Amino acid sequence: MITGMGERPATGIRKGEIVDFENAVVCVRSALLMAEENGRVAIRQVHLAISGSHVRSLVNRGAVPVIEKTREVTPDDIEQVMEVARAVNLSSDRDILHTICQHFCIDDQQKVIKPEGMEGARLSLDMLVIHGVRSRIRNAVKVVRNLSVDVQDVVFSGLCSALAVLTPEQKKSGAVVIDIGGGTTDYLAYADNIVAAAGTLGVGGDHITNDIALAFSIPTSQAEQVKRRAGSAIVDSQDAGGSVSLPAEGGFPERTISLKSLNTVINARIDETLAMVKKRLEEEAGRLHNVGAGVILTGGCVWLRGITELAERIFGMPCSVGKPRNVAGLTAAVERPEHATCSGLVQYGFKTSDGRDQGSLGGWLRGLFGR
Amino acid sequence: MSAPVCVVGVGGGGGKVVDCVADVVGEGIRTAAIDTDASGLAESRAVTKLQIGAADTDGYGTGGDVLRGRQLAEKDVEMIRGLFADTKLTFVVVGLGGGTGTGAAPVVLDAAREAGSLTMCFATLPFKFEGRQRADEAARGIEYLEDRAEVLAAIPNERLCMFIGEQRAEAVFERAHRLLGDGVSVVARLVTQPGFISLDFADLQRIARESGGMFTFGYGDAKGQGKAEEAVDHLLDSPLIGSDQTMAGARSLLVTIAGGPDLALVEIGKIMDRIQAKIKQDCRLAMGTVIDREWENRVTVVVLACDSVTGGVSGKVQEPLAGAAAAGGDAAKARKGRGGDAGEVMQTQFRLESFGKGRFKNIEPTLMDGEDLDIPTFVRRGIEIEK
Repeated sequence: MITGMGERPATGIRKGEIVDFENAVVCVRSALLMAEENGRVAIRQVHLAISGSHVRSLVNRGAVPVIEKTREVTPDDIEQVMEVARAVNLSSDRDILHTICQHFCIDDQQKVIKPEGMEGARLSLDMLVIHGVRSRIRNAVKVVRNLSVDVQDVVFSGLCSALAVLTPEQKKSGAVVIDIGGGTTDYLAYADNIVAAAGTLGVGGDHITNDIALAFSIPTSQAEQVKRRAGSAIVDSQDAGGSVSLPAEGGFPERTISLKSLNTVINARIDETLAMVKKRLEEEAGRLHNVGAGVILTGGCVWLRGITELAERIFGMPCSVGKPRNVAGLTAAVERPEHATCSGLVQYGFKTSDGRDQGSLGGWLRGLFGR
Repeated sequence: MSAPVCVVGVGGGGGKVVDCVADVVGEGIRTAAIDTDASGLAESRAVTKLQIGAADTDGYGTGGDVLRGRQLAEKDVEMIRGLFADTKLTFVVVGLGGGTGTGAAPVVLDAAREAGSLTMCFATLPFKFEGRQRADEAARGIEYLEDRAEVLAAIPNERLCMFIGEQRAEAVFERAHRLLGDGVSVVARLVTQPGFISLDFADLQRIARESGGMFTFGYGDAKGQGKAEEAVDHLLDSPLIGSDQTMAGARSLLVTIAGGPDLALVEIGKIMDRIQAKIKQDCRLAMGTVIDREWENRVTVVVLACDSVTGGVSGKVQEPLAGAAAAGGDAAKARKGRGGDAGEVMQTQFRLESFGKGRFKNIEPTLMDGEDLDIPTFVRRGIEIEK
């Protein structure tokens, strides 16, 4: 159950990454204080969700010979192939965030789910490896450590969002989760009951706001406001001739802008972003089939009118808004899409530290993600 | 549409080169593909794709009919014009000999010039084995292009092939496209992404407009130790340049050196020394550098030489070269940083303002497929927003 939360407008952070250390510390401190007050607890340890365009994924295939005379796959073989599949060659500046088992193969038989006891000469395993740039991950951790709070684990935020919003049925039939947040857009695809692809684009709601500010030469604060108040991801016929008024602010006089223009700006950005996610997914996981549950959108930007319609058009499959589920407590935390990552992170943290062996994260994740 | 530089591929061959350009270019360069063939366009990686004659050809090509290619382009000229609003420099890349490329390229060039853009055309000439007819079409095409493009580089496929020195057909084409793509994008970035020695647009314009029109395209590329010498060897000894006569007879020469942040002044010096040793004293020389992180540990030298023999015939405006900076004078043209450059450029009404990135201005850009995603999408897509 979620008993407290703290939320502050981000400072010192752009596109999910730390750009101003001091301001980021100030911002995290006030959010933590708020959560402590709100939940009446003292926070000593946290799980940290990480995002940013440096987070990427790849599939690494590991293979081992089956050595038993009977040619039967033993638990040792499985242990060993997992180790091999996890040992991926990344460039020296990168760290692995997660390794998630996809499919086993025995000889040329693909997509074996439980290989133990089966016969064959060679056992292989596809491992999805999510990785990021070490220094950027460390900088995020440093911000929190700076507040004398311990970081127990660093988790890819796209993974958290998927954990929070997907039902077991959706995982089974396959689904794409796209979390469009302020600084980044995280994505994660389930297909064939496995995590098929995951990653992040360094584009989010802040870009929409920035586009609006530049298009109409208005301050960012006004752009943000008008985006929330009148913005839509699709330009429909009723927008023509309509206009929105912007109140005078900080020396900028009151003015009106055309609704059609506003939504054209927003539409262009979201259209591009979603199309890029689609392209990335296709590059990483092949053509999007086996995603019966369609696209589930979450994150702060889903409040934009018309965003599911636009996503349906782009992906050519049903789209819906995913809200955090599987967790009780504060309604603000559990029902709002913008809190999907946090809610998923709490679930992640709860499950990993709940008497489980932290060492075998891969094995645990397999339990959590899929079969 | 407000990209200051536009790279357009016309027809199948041109489109493939533009694909290679689209893979590497950054901010300020718009890539476009124009074709009659819908399936070719579908595979294009250019930002803007224009299918001409959609209604007349049902998305199939022109079948090598140059006249038809031209008519179809003329019919859709409004659409083509839309590409060039606010474009200051246009590259048209075309493989001559085919119907769409040969027919439509002159129309595209006209549209670009009407919009006030400086035009540079890179045209490849067909292989001999492609037959007489295609060779004749190409020769006629060249005449059309020469009348229109301020800079025209005609590159025979045979020479390109010799230069690459590769035998397998598929690899030859692939590498030829990449080579031309590199050449075009390096020159294009002279304007959008100048290095510490920048060539201002006015210089480029002068070189282009006062020369004869026909340029020889030279290319040299090398990596690793001694890359500067190797690249310049590669350039000067290559069949692309043809003979020493090309350099010795050059009346004007545009040299672009692309390198990574590791490019040393000494290396630039070596390259320029070698080139200057080859050219006439009174050859008008302009040079600029492009610095790109992708070019780390690599140097590319691109030369456009206007050859007095072939160049003289087109009868364009020619200014006496008296008083023009001699080859050695180019050091004086070296200007540091974008700041000084912008001042110079203003004088010729070419505003090289960087696109507004607002709050994302001073942080690491988000680049994907050669596009800077921090620039508003509507700007990159060229959507006009009524304020």
